[in-house]
Amino acid sequence: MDDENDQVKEVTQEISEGKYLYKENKLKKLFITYGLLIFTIVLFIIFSILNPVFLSQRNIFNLLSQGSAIGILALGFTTIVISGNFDISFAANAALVSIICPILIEDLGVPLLIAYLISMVLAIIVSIINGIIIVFLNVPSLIATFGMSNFLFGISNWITKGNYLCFPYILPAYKIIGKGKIGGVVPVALLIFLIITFFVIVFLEISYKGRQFYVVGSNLQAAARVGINVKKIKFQAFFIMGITAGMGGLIIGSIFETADPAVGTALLFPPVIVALLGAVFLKEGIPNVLGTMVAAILMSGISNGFVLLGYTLWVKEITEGVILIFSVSVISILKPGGLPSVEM
Amino acid sequence: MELSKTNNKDHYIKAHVLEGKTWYKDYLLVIVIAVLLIVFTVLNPQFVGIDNIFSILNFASLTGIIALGMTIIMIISGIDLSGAVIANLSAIISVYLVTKGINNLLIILTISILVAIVASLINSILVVYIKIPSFIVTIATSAVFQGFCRSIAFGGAGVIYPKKLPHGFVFLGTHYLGKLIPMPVIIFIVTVFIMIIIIELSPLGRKMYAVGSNPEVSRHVGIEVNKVQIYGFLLAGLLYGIAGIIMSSQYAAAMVGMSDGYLFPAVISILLGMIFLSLKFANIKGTFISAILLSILVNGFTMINLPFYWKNVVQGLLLISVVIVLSTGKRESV
Repeated sequence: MDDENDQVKEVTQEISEGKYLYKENKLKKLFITYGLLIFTIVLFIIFSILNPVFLSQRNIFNLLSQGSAIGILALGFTTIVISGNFDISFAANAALVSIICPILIEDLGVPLLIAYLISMVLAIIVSIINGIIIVFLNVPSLIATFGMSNFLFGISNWITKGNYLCFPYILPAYKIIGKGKIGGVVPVALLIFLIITFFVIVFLEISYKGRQFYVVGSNLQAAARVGINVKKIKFQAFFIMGITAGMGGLIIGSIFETADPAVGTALLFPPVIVALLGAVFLKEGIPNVLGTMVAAILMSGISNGFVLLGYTLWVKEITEGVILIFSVSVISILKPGGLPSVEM
Repeated sequence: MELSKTNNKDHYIKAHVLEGKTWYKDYLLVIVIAVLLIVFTVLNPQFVGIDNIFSILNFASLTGIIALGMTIIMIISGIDLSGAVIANLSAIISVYLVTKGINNLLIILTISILVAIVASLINSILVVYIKIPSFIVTIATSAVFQGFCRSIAFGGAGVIYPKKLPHGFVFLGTHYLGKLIPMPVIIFIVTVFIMIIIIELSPLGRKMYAVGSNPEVSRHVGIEVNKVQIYGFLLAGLLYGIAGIIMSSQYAAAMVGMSDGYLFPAVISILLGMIFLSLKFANIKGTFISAILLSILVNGFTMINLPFYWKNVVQGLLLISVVIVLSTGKRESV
């Protein structure tokens, strides 16, 4: 009996000394939170030492323009993952938009702004169909969008008759969003990206409606019990994805001036990696907008840097895959169950 | 007393014992196959020509073997999208070894299959120990493995085409047993039988189903969840390796992307098999019959001269429809 009393006294003493308090490992948290940003800066420095062209104005311009398109797509994808779903058809969606828009302008003589409008509406319709299948028919989002991406790929090829089309004589105004410069320096694409980012941050991170996305994604049951309209939120995420897919597709079409269904494959991985890598940043495993932004710049720098340093295609492919594995591993460790899984 | 009928996954009771009313589902796929055969033959009489039948059977065998591997992984955890790429890697390694002067067929086959098993092992570590959902893992690893394929085949711009082959290299891919049945088909059928024994009948298979449907309960019941899952991945890797060496044997060469055409049909096969041959869980028989159906469909499209992109359109729509059907009757998530 005496022994037990002594033990209890000992433990009580330790508790009051604070031995059992949860002490955050400050260093680890710092590393995870800001590690990505530091890594980006370091990498850029390394690249510019290895090849000074990296920092040339033209190169930075290209980097930022393409990165903007990928970043916009990544923002949409981030929103979808935040709300607890997946969408791998956005790339094919953007590709379809990049194909339809120049055809509307050149072959059908549609005025520029109307063509933009039609293309955006198309992207949104595709995303809404995804949303209906996934949210209202309860189909797992990965498989549904997997099928949809294949379907869209087929449609894109049907429009271009299996080839890719070039538009060397297209309306100069078409090239503005991809290649235009403001004040001769800042890419238009970057500006669009920053504007969209601003809106997404205000919506997702600050506004009340936006925070609901996070709740829905992390704890569905709790969200429903608190009274959030889960279906509406998830559906809205797809709507946002549609808008970003449309914008991204228009910018890509403007940069490359071709209508190429293969763009769909190339546009898939980078935004996914950007969104998931960004989840490692700032919010420890939850996809978020600022993280996506930093990751977009990082990935853009990496692919640009690899090209400049003369690495061949497969190095980039393997690196992207490894980065993706790294990101999802960290996410799974930091936040188990943070990634939506497929149940059939 | 009336026995209450469980209407969801109860893996310890055979499916068709419960399915009294839905016998037709078992045969629906076979009926569809018959219908497709008739339709395509009418549209192009060469469809049932001996050459085309072999073509269909070859495609079905490769799709089927890859799909079987993916079915196992589907049973124990989720979707494996890297199956086709792992098979591709196997094929490329086998041909690469030939170009490096290795002449012993047995060594080549062993190493190629081992590579596939190791690749699947990598997947399994990420899924089982780091607990990443299998579809994300396999999307990422498929990119990495494809990068490996490209790096190995880099010198020949993505194709390895050896000038001299070891004796017997093309046997598995092109030999006709008894001058009639192609070897790939034999391998496929034998594999299906073995898989049915392992997965549907043996205790290991029962454990795999248990682990797949409810890992927590399985752990409590005493099943070593991690071990079972890893066995599943290893088995799938073996199958991918076999598919890979059949592919390289058929072409006597290997190419990056040669297996891409098998991925989508394989995924659809698994899902289609889930609807029609069981209570909506992945199973070997369903995959087997669906693989044949998909091959007939794909081949038929080519025979009636539809441009290649129609395949994608129809496959995409088919996949979406199949998944919608699979998801009806599921409890709503909210």
